[in-house]
Amino acid sequence: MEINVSLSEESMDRINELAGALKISRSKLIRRAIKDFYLKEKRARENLLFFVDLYRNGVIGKEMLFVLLPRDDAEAVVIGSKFGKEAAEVVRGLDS
Amino acid sequence: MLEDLIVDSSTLISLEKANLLNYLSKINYNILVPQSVAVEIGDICRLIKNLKIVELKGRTLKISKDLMDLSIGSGESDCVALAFRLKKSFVICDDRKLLRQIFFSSNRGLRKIKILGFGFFLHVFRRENFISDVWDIFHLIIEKNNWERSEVQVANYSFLKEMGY
Repeated sequence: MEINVSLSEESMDRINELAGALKISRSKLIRRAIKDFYLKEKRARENLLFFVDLYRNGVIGKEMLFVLLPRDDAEAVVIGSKFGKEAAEVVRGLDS
Repeated sequence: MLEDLIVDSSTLISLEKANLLNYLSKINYNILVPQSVAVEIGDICRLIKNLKIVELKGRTLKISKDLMDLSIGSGESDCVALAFRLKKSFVICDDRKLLRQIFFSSNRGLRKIKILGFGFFLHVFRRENFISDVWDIFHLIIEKNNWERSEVQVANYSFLKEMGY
């Protein structure tokens, strides 16, 4: 299927630069980018709490979160995990 | 003497959406809300018997205004300022923006404040046997407040996991 996309000059320059560096066509580059984005989005939408567990348990680190998930979701995992852990420490103090 | 909890509108509204406010009146804590939060939650105030509205004055008000200058919302600023005044180490708040602001803040005082969420109340309700399981209610609250894939969801999930649920 063919689609027409309006891109800024800056975006076009970036596509050309990446296509040249990776030695692939612009079409293939865009298909690959869409696939990467789709996978990240799907992981976050369907399994975010699984990735929270992996991060909390030290199975994966911050860097891997940003590789596997969209940026906003990776940030949510890092920030939320910190506050959740601190909250539990406070509450254990209250309960004892 | 009952322990005081400083609670923001975000948490109280989330509990209201899940029909859990009646349990709040039965726990052994005082619920303190600044005047600004009382205005935000409106009629919810009347539904919680152990809720006390606190008016900020003098230096506390000044601290709150300083926090608002950091782009923190008025209710959240008042809660944090009240925590400083009462020498509390935490407030209960489910505001995504506040979590992010504290996380990225270079303000030492602000970074010392711990943030608990609605998960704390689920823990208390479970401990008091008001509810039989926390997870169904956790997912209900997340859905009703559109907190999927947010810092609030992760923070409360992590909290409950850390507490052994």
